[in-house]
Amino acid sequence: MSTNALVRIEAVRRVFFRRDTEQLALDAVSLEIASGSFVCIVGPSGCGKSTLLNMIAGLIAPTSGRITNAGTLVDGPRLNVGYLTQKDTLLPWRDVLRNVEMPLEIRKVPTAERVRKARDLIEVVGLRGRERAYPRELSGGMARRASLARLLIADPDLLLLDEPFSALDAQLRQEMQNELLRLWGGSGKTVIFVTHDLEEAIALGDRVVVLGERGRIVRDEQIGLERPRDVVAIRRRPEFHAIEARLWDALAAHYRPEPAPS
Amino acid sequence: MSAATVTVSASQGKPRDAARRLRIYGWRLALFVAGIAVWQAASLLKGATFYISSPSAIWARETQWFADGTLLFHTTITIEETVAGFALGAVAGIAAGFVIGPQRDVGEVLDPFIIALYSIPKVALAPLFIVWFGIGIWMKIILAMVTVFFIVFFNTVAGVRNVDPDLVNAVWLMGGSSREILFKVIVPHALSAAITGVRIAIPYALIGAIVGELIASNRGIGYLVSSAASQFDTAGVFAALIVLTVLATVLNSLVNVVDQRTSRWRVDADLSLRPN
Repeated sequence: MSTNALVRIEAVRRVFFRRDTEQLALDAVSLEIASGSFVCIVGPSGCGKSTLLNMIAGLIAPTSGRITNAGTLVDGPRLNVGYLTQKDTLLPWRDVLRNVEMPLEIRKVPTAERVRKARDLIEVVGLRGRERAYPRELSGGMARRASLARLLIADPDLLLLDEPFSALDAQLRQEMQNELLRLWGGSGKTVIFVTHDLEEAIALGDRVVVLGERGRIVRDEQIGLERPRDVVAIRRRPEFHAIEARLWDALAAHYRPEPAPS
Repeated sequence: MSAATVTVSASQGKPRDAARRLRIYGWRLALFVAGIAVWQAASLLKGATFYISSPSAIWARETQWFADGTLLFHTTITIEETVAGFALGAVAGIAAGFVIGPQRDVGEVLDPFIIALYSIPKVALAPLFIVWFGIGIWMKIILAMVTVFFIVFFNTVAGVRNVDPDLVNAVWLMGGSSREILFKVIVPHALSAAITGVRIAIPYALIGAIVGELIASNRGIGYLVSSAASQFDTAGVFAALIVLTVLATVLNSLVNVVDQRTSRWRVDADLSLRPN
């Protein structure tokens, strides 16, 4: 066991019950996430990636096994963990500023301070001038930026990102990926980034973990590409393609198409 | 969304837009004048005034009512009933929605009874309300209130129950307590849905008041309609109906104001009592 692991996932198993049938979502998953690293988890849909993330976040508990964060057992949401889900969860009745302020409001930070911080972050994610817009009035990309600002305002040590850019078009996705790398660079924060897009995983991560069915780890690879990176430029590098080919083979070898989704 | 559409339409081809608007207003005016003219002409036919009166006679009745205060008196009564019934129904609907909404079991027990009460045509309750509250203003207020109550109540309950669990999780993940989840997610969501109900209910308050006045009253616009009709005063019936039309139009524009003010953030909840 490495000593600098922030998150330890130990023999985690998770069963879901749906209409009297048991479904094994994750079986005996063990993984360590080094502090300060950017780890991407890739796998086909239904491999249990989101379930794993939900458990690290403390939203659901493992059926057996355990997850620790900074040495203590995860048994519920924590203030130093930020979670960006695939779906936007901005509150429709709050404008951008009030949505971004929300985590600090819950922490009882005085209004003046939280407004100042929220404005700063809105600026950082490139949403200046949209402070008073409601979520319904934002495009998909702008809503993502607002969500990102809300995530960062709480200054979490651990960021859990569940396919955060999958709903965006290719160009906007690259823009947001670069933005994320820029914001993360030098911050010392740990990122666990879940995606089904292999290229995205390689372009962003220090390490890519490929999951097969029921969360079985079929490949775990360190990505030796330099930092800081530009996600567009890095895709043209020969090493990038070599890594992609290796990971793709690992993914394809273990991929079995699911029967019809339930 | 609406803000975006407005800017686009405002920035594109302004002169053409203005010309088109002018043309539409012109056609409306023309249609109105033609309608009145045809009506006036038709009233000249033998015996026709008994059925359709005539625009000039109606106008004369309108000015006469305006001059002697009849118009103001009856309109005020109807507005009072509508507003009071609406306010009481909306407040009661929101309150009941917040009390019953979170209690799934209680809601499920009450469900068939509430649906049964809701299904009764409210007009049919009027005679009962006469027995209970007399033929005064309260009977109309209660009738308007009952109509409004159910609409607001159903929306509020749906708003309390159908909160997006992802929004609840998001606040939970931020470290929000169950109290914060209640006040920062569930209550705003339910209030937002309640506003949808309130907006729908506005015209129904007027319907409740008018129905009450038609059935038993000695004042209000509904009374004006029925008393004129009972005296075969067709001009009076039409004159009263016109006042009613104006009042209903004003209320509808109130609905539009609520819409414009709230559509940026309002949520429309799914209106089923039992979402699962």
